[in-house]
Amino acid sequence: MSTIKIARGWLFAFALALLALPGSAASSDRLRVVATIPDLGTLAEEIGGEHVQVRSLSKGTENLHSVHVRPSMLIALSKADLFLEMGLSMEAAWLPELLLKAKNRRIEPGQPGFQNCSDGWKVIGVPLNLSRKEGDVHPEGNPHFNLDPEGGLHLAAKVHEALVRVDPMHREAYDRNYEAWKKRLAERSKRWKLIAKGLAGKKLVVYHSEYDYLAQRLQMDVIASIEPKPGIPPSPSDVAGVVKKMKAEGAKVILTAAWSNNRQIADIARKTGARVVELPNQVKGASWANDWIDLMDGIHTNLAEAFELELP
Amino acid sequence: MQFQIPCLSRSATQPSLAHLTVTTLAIASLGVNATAQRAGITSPGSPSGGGIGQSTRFDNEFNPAISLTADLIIDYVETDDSSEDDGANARLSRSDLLIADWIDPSAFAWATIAYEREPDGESEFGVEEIAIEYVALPDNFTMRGGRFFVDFGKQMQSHIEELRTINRPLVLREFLGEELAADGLQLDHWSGVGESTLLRWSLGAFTDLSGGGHGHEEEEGDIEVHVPPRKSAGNFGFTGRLTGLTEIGSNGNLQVGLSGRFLNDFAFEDEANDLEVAGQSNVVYGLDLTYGWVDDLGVKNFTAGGELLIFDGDLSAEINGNGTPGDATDDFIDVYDDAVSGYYAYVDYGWTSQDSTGVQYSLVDEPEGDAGNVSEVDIYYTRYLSEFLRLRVEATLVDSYTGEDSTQFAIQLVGFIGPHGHGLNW
Repeated sequence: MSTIKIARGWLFAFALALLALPGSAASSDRLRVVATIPDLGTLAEEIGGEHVQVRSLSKGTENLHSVHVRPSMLIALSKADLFLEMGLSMEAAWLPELLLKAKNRRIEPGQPGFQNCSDGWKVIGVPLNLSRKEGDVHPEGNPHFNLDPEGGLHLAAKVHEALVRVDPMHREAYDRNYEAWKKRLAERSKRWKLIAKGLAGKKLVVYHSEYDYLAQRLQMDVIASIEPKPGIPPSPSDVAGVVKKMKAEGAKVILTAAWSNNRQIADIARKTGARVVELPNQVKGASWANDWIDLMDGIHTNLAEAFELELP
Repeated sequence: MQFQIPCLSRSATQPSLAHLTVTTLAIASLGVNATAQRAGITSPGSPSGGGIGQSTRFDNEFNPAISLTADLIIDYVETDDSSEDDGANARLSRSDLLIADWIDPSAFAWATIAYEREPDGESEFGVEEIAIEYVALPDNFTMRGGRFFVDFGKQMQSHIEELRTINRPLVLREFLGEELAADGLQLDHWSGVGESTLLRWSLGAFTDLSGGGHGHEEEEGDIEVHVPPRKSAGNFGFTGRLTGLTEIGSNGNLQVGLSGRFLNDFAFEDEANDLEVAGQSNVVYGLDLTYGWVDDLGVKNFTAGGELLIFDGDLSAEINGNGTPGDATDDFIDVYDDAVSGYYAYVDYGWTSQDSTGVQYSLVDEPEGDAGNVSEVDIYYTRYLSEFLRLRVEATLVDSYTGEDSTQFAIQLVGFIGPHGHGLNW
């Protein structure tokens, strides 16, 4: 073999090594917070105020189980001082590999910069039988507790706790902002409680199980899920079964997220005369869902309108 | 009698010493029970592996994650020359058993044990990958060692059943092999450029990069590729990849990549006639370009991409009878030192989270003495019955300069059992 051929391989290797430019580290005095979803991101902005710089990874419009991974996510995670996740495997389909590649010790589980916001939350829907026979189940239970009317307070408490832990120097500001947020929540939730009285006992159908916490808290009656099991598309016989049950029980509202509002839902609505209510499942998932309080306000308004309740 | 490089005839059932060593290390790393057939009670000086950890060999708490894939294919093939390849066939085309876990906070390991069956009934079973990835290097460096799929282009890192088509694109099969797992080391690094661009590079050094690995086909004829098991560092096989991934607008990603695979110091040999041509080398260069777009709901998606490959150097060989029929004593091996090229390109559109369709075209100059092209068109529809069960219907049309054209209609069902991760493909 010629020396030229051997040298060619080494030359190529050397050229590649030279091109490995070091990453540019953005300098910032503010605490760099990365949140998996805008619900957590906007809470961090409100409680952190001027002392934080926040990046939410998901847009708020997409299916949380299949978020499209982008380069800026990895870069943000690699520089983060604080990482906020929902937990309960909500981000399991796209997050673990990002965290692995980010190699940021500050935000690894067990470090002060890592916050699982489901810590201490009373979870529902924990599978009795952990098997894929039950569909795309979450081993730790239903993760969609950001849609529980009382979930926001829990999330805000976790965000506040994490900010104080990582950046105790600005504790006073974080405490002040947190108290202001709770006051705003208390004001707005008075209206939700009035609407909730009218919604109690109302029958509805859901496509996926993301609204289980909401329905439970509002004491609504979910008579059927169009998905036979989480993550399993319904067959024609599943759809027929839902239609039959809705007619038998007089359910007139179907609750769905935008990403699952498909032809099968339209078909069921046409056959039953039901109204389809498309709700966001995250902050920023609709034009009116600017933060968690707005999200919950809009959800209550949409439900009240769907059931033709008088709005307070 | 001809032989082309990627589909070497080195048996996958004869692993190198390095392969065995790494295999032993990695299996040992996956769990204490893997090496637990020693005395239950150790005495001073015995190879106990340290005085900490667990001594029982019957605990399962720290067992690794285990998953299994099953790739079932029913197909019908029609060829222009009505060969024995014609007709219908149903088979378990492939099954992978994957075992993976963290060894300690600084490293994880995985092993893939693969079974593959060809339409003609030939089957293979063996260790396809077994490697350790060390993640505790500074900055964004990682190092992997063992036997694993080399880092070349966009598809060679993946198992066949993970691809968008039933077979790997024609040009990759011809120049690199159906799968290219090799024994060696690979250093990997990524860095951010600005806030929305990633730059990644890798360098790998391998004992044997002659292709095939598990699942390659035996070639006709007596010429085999021989790669010396021990050599100077400069004669190792090398891979390199440099790729940039950036965001285009709020919904698109664009990736550009350069790859190289260098095979040094191998020989074409015909053992039966005691013929050998040593000191051969060749290189495959690749340029890949991919654009992906996903709508705001994460449902509708569009991907277009392709790779251009150049295969340069000692590509293939055949025995030259030197004009004396029946007399092998004056035979010698002719080596084709040449440069050929090929490419594949595809477009893929998904209109629901379960349904997608696409078309892929691949054209390749055959790396043999006879000049000629072979092209392959794949048209496919994929339906995810659930996240863990995938159905695909595909038609493949092959147009060859030899006139051996064929048409294949296939139905593929792939099931994933157990842990099912989505890695970053970049």
